[in-house]
Amino acid sequence: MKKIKKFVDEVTYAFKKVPYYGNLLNEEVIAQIKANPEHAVNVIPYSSKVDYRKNFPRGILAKGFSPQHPMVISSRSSGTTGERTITLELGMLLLQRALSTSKISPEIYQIMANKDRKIVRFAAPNCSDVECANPNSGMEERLLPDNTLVLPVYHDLMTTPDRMLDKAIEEVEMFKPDLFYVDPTHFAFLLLAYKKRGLTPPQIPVILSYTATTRAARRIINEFFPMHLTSQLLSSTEFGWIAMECPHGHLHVNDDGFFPEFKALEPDSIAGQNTASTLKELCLTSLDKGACPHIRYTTGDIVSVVGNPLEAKCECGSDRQRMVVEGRISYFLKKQGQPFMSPQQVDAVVGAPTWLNFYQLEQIKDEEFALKLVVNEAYQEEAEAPMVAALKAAIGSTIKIDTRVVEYISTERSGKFQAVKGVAHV
Amino acid sequence: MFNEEQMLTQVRPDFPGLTALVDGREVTYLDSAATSLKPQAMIDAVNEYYSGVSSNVHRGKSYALELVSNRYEQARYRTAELISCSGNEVVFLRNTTEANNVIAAGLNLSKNDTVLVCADSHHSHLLPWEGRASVKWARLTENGALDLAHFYELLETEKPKVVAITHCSNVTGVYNPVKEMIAAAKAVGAITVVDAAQSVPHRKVNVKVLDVDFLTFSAHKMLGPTGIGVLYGKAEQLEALAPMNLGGGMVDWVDYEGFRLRKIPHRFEAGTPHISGAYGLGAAIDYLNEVGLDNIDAHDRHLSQVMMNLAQQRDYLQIVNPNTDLDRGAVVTFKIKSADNLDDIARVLSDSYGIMCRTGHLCAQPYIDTTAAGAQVMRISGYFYNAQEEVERFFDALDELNGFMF
Repeated sequence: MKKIKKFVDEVTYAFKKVPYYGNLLNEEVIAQIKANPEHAVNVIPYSSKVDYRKNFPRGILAKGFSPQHPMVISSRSSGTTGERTITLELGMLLLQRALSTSKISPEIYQIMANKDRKIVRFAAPNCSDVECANPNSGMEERLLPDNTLVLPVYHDLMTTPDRMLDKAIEEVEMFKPDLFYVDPTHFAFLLLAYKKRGLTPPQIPVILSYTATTRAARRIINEFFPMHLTSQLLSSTEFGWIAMECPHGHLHVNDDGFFPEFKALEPDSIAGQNTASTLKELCLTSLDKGACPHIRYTTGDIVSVVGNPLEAKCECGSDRQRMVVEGRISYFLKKQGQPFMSPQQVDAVVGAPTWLNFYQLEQIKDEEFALKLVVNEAYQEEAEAPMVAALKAAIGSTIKIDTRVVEYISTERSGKFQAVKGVAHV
Repeated sequence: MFNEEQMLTQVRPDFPGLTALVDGREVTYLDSAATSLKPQAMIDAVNEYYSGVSSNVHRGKSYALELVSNRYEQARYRTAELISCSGNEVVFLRNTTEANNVIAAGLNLSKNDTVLVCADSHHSHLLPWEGRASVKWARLTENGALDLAHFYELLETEKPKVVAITHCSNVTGVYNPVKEMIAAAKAVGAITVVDAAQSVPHRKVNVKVLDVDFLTFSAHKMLGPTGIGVLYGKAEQLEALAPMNLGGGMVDWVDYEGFRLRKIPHRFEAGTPHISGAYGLGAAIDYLNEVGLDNIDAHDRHLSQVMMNLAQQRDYLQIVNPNTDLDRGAVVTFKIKSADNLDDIARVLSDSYGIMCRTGHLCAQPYIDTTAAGAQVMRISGYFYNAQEEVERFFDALDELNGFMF
């Protein structure tokens, strides 16, 4: 347990300064955690998004801070799973978290440490679908104060018209960014537009964030960018940057900026699968005494914990914990209402055949699935047969998969693209 | 493999209308071309909206509104998947009629523009064009089929701006060869508009394969609620179409000098939309997918054969377009040779036999006037919840009335 002292300090700070934690904890708990921190962590209850949403803003802000505080910036989550929230935090702390997270990837760290850096973002528009992604907006309207240019895109990604893609490509050329900060599916879609036009994007580092990178999207991205220039990032509205992929392809959680814990899932929540023991929910505690501290906050991200850094460091030299993001529990495939297979596990089965650009596997009922495939010129009839067979082998031999080659797959209304959707996801 | 008995056993309990009592008895419902019965899952979806926090969509930031908006847009995506287009190419309106009017109005037609209309059209695909442009009619053949040779001839001679095609006739259930008709119309530079109100509920319709510019249909004929219909338009066609209705929800910016339209499809959905209707439409599509459009199509063809065979065996009937070689669905319309007015016969079929069918001019008066010489006609139409025995019961009832009522 690295940083246990900072954890104790943060809990004490939250107890004294934040009304929500003032009500949740008491002097006895604080005394316990100070006396024997490593064993008393579990005395503190977990917190969650709903606690923050319902107590916003007065209950979750530390004394001395308000939404109008000049150094506080606000971020809004898209509510991907129907769980939305607004977070307020000191801008400086978010930058520090980004820097300490990116230490794992020296090229990205260098760019982030440069205050004159220029970033372009290509991801789902961060507002409701009828008020943003305006095809008539200009570059100046989409340039954020931190020198990030937000490229134009429709909420429903695959309906983005050619003229908007032309505009995005043109703006990248004009803006001359140092870094791409993108959603991987969105970026793969943009790169296919580059390819169609016979163009190539600037060779700068690429951060893949917002949603998990499917192997198919990664294959498209790696046609344009070598592996060492691309890095998956796990971030959230609540914390900013949390974990980043090192040059050796391993995702490391930032345990300088956060106190990470891996919470076991409910004992019966993964129906009869051997993998159950490796799946945990990532929980974080902030360590920087900010405007909005989070204590043992359950992020909703299900991860597989990989290796033990105390026993063996990563090839990159880091002793930060490695993990694989498996997806949100609400998107897991389910059997009799119980999640049993993660989107990441499904993606491993689907793989990245050269003919595949995008896909979506939607579970209609326990045994009924719809598989939509957006393919490219390398596709030949029945090419998907081995994939379907592999999915049946992994999910269940009696399942029915309605497979269709399509030109369009809709995104969620939030604008995020979900490649795998478990049954009854709303 | 399609198994009628198995399908009926599975689906019939899902339709409360099949066991509801009217005047103390269950009805034999043979009027699905007018509107279909509704499955419980669709009714539950509509109720879910009204039983919950029935907020508006796309207006404001409340949590409940976001959830409702998600469901509303999810219905749009479901619809797009059903007809193989993109989400932004699906506009929710009131029904097929309104959708056809939105197209006709949005094209800014004048009497100097020619629209080629087919004589087998429903009024909803006739009046919007007749009221705004100069209409040329593709006529009928002697037995009441669309004269395709005349259609192709008019394309060449008239070079119409718009060609209005009916995919499946609401009178005869005959499917026109729309793919070929659309290709020919596009070859002369026309904008193509297909009324698919009678086809989308029964068969897989793929707008990309058809290469159609606009296609319209209604939810209520495909298990959905009344009051919501669909306008499909190719993205570039919708971009060029002027919205017929102006108001809230369809603009990005408004000031005293003017306004800036919102992106498609929202610019065509002025005012609060039929939110519960979208819930219901989404559930209806889910239900259709569960039954399987291939199964529905197969059942339709079977029922069509039964209807045609039984109608043809009765020499007191005169079938509108009796050609059995045509591609047709489960609809048959006929004139009773010895009776021009069928109002009382329809009342007796309903009140004495519990059979619901349609009489009159079927909202296709030019067609009926041509094929039935001014007389009223009677139509029976089935859907996948109808059994062959119900059709047989109808013809048995007609036989009983023959010689007594007509």
